[in-house]
Amino acid sequence: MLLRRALLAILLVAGVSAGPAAPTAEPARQAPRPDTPRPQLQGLLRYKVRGPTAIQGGFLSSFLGGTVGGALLMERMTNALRIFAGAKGLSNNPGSKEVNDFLRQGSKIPIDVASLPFYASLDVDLVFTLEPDDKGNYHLVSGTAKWTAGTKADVRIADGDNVQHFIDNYAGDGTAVLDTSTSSITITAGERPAGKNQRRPYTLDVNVGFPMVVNGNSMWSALSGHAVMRVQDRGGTRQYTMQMLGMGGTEPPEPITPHGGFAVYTRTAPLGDLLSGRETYQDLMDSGVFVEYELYPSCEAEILAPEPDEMLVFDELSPGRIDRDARARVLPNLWRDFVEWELPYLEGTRSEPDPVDMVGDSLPYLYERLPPKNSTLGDRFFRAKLASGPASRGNCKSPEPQHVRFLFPREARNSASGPYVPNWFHYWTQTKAAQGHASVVEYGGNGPSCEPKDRGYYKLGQEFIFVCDLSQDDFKKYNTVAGISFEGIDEFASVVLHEWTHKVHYNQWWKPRGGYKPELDADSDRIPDSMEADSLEHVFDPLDWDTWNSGYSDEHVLVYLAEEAWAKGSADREDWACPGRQSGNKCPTSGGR
Amino acid sequence: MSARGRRSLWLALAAAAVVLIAVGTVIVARRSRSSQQPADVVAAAIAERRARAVAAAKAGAKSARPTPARGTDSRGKPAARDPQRALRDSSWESRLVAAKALAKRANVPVPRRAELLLAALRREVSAPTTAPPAGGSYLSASSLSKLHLAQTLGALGAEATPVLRQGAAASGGEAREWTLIALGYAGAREAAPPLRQLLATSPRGEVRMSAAHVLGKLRDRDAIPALRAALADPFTATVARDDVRGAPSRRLYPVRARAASALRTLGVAVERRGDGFVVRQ
Repeated sequence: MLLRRALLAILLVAGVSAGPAAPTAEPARQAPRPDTPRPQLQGLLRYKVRGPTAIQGGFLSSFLGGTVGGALLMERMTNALRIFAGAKGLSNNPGSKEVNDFLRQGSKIPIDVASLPFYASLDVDLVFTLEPDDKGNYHLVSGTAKWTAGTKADVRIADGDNVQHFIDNYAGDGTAVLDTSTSSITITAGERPAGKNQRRPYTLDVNVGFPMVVNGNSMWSALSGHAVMRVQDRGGTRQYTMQMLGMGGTEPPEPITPHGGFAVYTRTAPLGDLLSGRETYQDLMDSGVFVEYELYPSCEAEILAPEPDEMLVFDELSPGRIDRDARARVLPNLWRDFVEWELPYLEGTRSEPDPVDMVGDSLPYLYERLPPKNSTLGDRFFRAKLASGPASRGNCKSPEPQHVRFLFPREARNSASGPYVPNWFHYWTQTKAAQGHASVVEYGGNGPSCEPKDRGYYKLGQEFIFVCDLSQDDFKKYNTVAGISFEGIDEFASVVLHEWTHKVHYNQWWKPRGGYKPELDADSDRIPDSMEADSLEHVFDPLDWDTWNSGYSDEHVLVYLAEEAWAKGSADREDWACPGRQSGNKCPTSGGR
Repeated sequence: MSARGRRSLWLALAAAAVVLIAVGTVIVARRSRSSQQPADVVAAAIAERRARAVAAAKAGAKSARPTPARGTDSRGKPAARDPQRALRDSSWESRLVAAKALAKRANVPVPRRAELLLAALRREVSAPTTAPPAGGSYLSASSLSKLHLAQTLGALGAEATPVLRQGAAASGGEAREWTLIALGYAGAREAAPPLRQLLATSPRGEVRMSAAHVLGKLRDRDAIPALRAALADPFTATVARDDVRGAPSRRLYPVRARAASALRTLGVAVERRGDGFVVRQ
């Protein structure tokens, strides 16, 4: 029985039916797939046409390009041609070939239409969303087309005195919402090829149309200006003006059907290759076409550099610099130029680039001059957003702000205190480690009073206490009296406290006595004999400068013990030295590139 | 059914199960492949490309994450150190701080602490540090180190005395002298006679100085003659590097001062006279 149950369990896991004797296996085998939502695909496509395919209107352009919007113009012009140029053979709706052949026949109008100097352009930026159907093929569900179009032509065709002059001048731009009943974008899977290692082809088919209202005017004159016909398109209306042999008039504006904007593109390729593409080609009307597109699951950006919690350390030059690149990964990659950065502001530091130039997926940046205030250093955030340009239409997800730490090189001397003061002294005196004595703490490392191995000193009767070069013992100190070790900013704090305590002792014990007097200190321990015999009785012996046999004078023992009052780690949160409490003991390369 | 027959049946069933699992796995894998729709494939292809792009971009990033230094944890804080290793640090001050920390470690039995500290003391005797004197001290670094190790050993108290007693018996020369001082610091009155001897005969001023101090702490009245004699001890010292400037430096007589202090502790009136002391009659 146990064996049978074990087999059933195995078959259930393997998804294989054990037959009628194992009915419990059936639901597992035929269980519906979890109702997971199909992933939508986002896409963007840039479509640029240069040539007759892009023509929007005008006398010359219309019959050269044969646009729908030009049909009425063609009709009116054909009539005029029949009258003035003897074009009796033209049909009612002549195409460009017919007009081309007519204009070139005999020696009457000796031109080649293909070489006429006209310019027509159509730029379309599509942003769209595709959704899979039950078969897994993707279809357009929504999208917008941002378009810009223009046509310019200025052509003179002379045959003796008969000069024909064509001017077309049209332009427009706008944004249209794609209508899924008239536009389609699909990705469909083809049949898997029979051969080994053959990849299944997929087809991206873009067939998008949208209305395009362009404004502009067109003029055609013949017979050396005796016959002139003009049209003016404004806001979806058209107005005709005709002058012929001194007679003519202007018709009232009439509504016209908008021109048709379009983006048409097909590509078949294995899936990995189909997700993005770029190509240029000549279409059937010899227009140059440029297409660039990218398909992606979501529109987002991620900050790659600086890395999370990256330490940005000013270099040791003067002025100190951080010279690096901020980098973002942008999906779709085509929008890499639309990342807008917000770099941390450090007061007292010059930075580049200016905020207006902070765009692009790779942004070289520079901070120059260490900030004067310690509080300016430390935790900051690099921010970026994908919201400008076409990305503003994409409802993009902006990246999480990237946390960094700005640090100073500990032993360099390029702070606002100048080249004679090490950075650690400049910044640590602004922290809790100075214990409120910053105004009387001086750096004495460059002076003659700091002897080798000295960490600090106090000169009896002076206002200031001095801290010496702590780098000489690698920022480590051992208080062998109290059995405490100090490192880094803690060592600085302990030295400040040590020298400050000497000063306090002087001010309390000797200042009221008019300064240190050896005759009042028989054992030379710098504690007045009277105090040792009175208030400090049983603690210190006025006959012995080292009552506790510690190796130090009695006053020095008190000073060393006072260092215990400094709680190690109290200033860790303010220590932006590198190396230091916030950076760890190993610093990254400072500066940057 | 015999036992052999049952075993054969079990083996056959197991073999059948293995075959069924293999076949089932193949079928499921085929079903899985054939049920993949273009949407799944598209999503998978995009995910793959995205992963590749991220990897490539990150590989190009210049910045590098720092790695914690040796001996520190991920936040750069000093890692907890093995006390035995800490007692062998290259810095004598570090060794001394480690010794004082070890003395407070309640999770290590006192005798073990005493053994480790005694070993450290012996190492200092056999290989004295040549580092310059500590700022503010009138003793050499090595003497300061030995003195503090002896004091630290003594602070372990009575529980440490067996180890110290054994250590003193097993050693000679300076190691024995400092061990006896440690024993005196531990409060062992048995240390008094040899300390009296040390006060009178040790060639080392630091030892004589400490012997006088400990005899006072032990309130050893039998030491009064030796202490009185020590008031004329010739050992002198000066503070090497005093971080307090402006006070006159003075030649110190540590043995005399410690002997005077001990005598005062023992109720003998002493007064200073010049660089020395005299017992007040």
